[in-house]
Amino acid sequence: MNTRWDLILLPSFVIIGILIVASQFIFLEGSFYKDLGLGRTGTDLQLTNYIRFFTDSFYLNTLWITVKTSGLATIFTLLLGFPVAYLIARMRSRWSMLLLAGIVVATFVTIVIKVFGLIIIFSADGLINKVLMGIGIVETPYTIIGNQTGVVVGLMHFTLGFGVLLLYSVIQTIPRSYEEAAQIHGASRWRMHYRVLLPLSLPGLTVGALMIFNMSMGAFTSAALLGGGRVFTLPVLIQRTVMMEVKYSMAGTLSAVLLVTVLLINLFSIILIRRLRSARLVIA
Amino acid sequence: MSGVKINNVVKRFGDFTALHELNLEIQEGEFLSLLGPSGCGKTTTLRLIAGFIQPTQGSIILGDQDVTQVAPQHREIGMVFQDYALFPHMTIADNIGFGLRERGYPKEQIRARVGDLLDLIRLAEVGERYPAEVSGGQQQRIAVARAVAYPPKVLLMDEPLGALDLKLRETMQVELRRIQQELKITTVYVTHDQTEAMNMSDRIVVMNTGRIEQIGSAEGIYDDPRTRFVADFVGQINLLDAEVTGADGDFLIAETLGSQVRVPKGEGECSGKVSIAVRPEHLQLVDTSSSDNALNVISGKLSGRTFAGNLTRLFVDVGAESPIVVEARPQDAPSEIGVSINIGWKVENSRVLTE
Repeated sequence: MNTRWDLILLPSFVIIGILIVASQFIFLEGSFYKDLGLGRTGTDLQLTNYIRFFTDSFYLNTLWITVKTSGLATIFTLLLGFPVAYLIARMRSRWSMLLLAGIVVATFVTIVIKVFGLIIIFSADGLINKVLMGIGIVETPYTIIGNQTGVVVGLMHFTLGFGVLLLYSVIQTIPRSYEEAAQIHGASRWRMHYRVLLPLSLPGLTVGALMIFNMSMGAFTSAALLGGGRVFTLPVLIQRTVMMEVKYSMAGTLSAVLLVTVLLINLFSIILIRRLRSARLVIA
Repeated sequence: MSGVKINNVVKRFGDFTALHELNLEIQEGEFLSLLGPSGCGKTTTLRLIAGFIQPTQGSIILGDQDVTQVAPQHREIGMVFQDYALFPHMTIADNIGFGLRERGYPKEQIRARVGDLLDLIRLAEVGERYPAEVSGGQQQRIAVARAVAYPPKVLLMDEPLGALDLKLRETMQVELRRIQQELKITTVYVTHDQTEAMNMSDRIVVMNTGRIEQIGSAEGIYDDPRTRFVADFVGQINLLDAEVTGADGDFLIAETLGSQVRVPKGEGECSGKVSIAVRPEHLQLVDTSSSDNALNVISGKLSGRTFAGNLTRLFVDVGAESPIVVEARPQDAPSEIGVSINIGWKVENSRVLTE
């Protein structure tokens, strides 16, 4: 009989199971008990919390803000990250590795430090407001702290590094000769991007977009710090519900809604890409 | 369609000079090959004509227009890439029609032209398929069709047969030459394969370390190499170190490995240390060990032999650094390694090289 070497994997499976699945399960199960406040929960399973979520405009609005800010952050991160990633991927000099290393390092600096940097730059007497007021574009200090713009900027700050790295690896897989072939046969740079580079990077771009979106949906620190207690996204609200209101079941419900929303959006996107692919609109 | 003129072009990448003062004129309708080892500057020259890189110095003229500052998409050039670079997300018909569409041709006209081109490359039935669904040889022909769709002023090809196996490569050489002749299109072809260059080209430019070594027809370059590099790179050749000791009319008298030999005078002055070049097929086994006015003879020992079917290659140790290669008919070749033999060649079949 063969030695079952794969049994070695069993302990790690168990540990992962406890850490990830079981902890999620406790929350999901808890979400079905009525929340009596102050950490107390009801004894029988019911949908009270879910009914409350979907009938209370505050909760629905929070879900909408979470999806909206994450979606906007994803779009702007891709728009901003693509040119940077393209430039680095097509560089021939040693600088490309240095720039890439810089992005990696910057990406793994804790978001708290980065967001505080943002707060300082955008503060009323910070660099940006001094310049804007100095040249007379705004009269009163412009702030991004405590509004949705700020949250979007914060999420972008959080995901941009990952975005550039992801897009870099996508562009790297597209041979430069495709670009040259498009150019020499009459396509301008813009047309080359539109007809060759973009369609070829679309599958990778979609996966990258989903990753950035998922990161944004779950982001707590940047949303909490830049939301300044005035903008609530689901992760911020969950933390508040657990820590300040001590409503465990309601927090469980919020978590469940966040989880299912993210899963559904991903599932929908993947099905859409499959459809496009089978219609040969996208090749990968 | 038009010719190409490369005027005094220098190309440097940082400290590295890829091309030194290159001057080259490509005639209208000509098939010209740039031949040389990797790093000789042939691909750089091609990319300069395409406009993917700009010369550090000098100018490039297409027809009667200076295109040095013109972007690739406005140069009206067609190009076949080493990896073909067919767009994987477009059908073969869309690939071929790419240049026409980018230049705003009406749909009907594009369809008609693509049909003609598919006929030209003898692949009429594959138009609706994708590049990944056809063979390497077919992709190659499709890449050519795409490159000539919008009749380009010049067709550039960058080692287009490198990825194919030997048999297919030979078929494709004939095919490419046929297409080029049919369209009478000015073609610049980059290769490191001398047989490929000789099979297809009107003229061959042999390049080495960023300089042109020699320009000429296949015969001219093979029969009359100007430099040791060309002699060595194009075909097989034996190079013997020799010292010029005198002259006799149209011939030079030189001493090599202790024997006196005669060689036709080359162009220009010639004295001191030279190389004498003889092709293996011009060497023969002779009975006598003495030279006369028409035949040079040196003696050596047979150090090895390889059988190549139609001929046998003999390696003869004559006391030089590398053995002399002789191509003999298999039935004439001695089989005993170590036996003393005399090899001779007709005076007019040898060349003297100074560079």
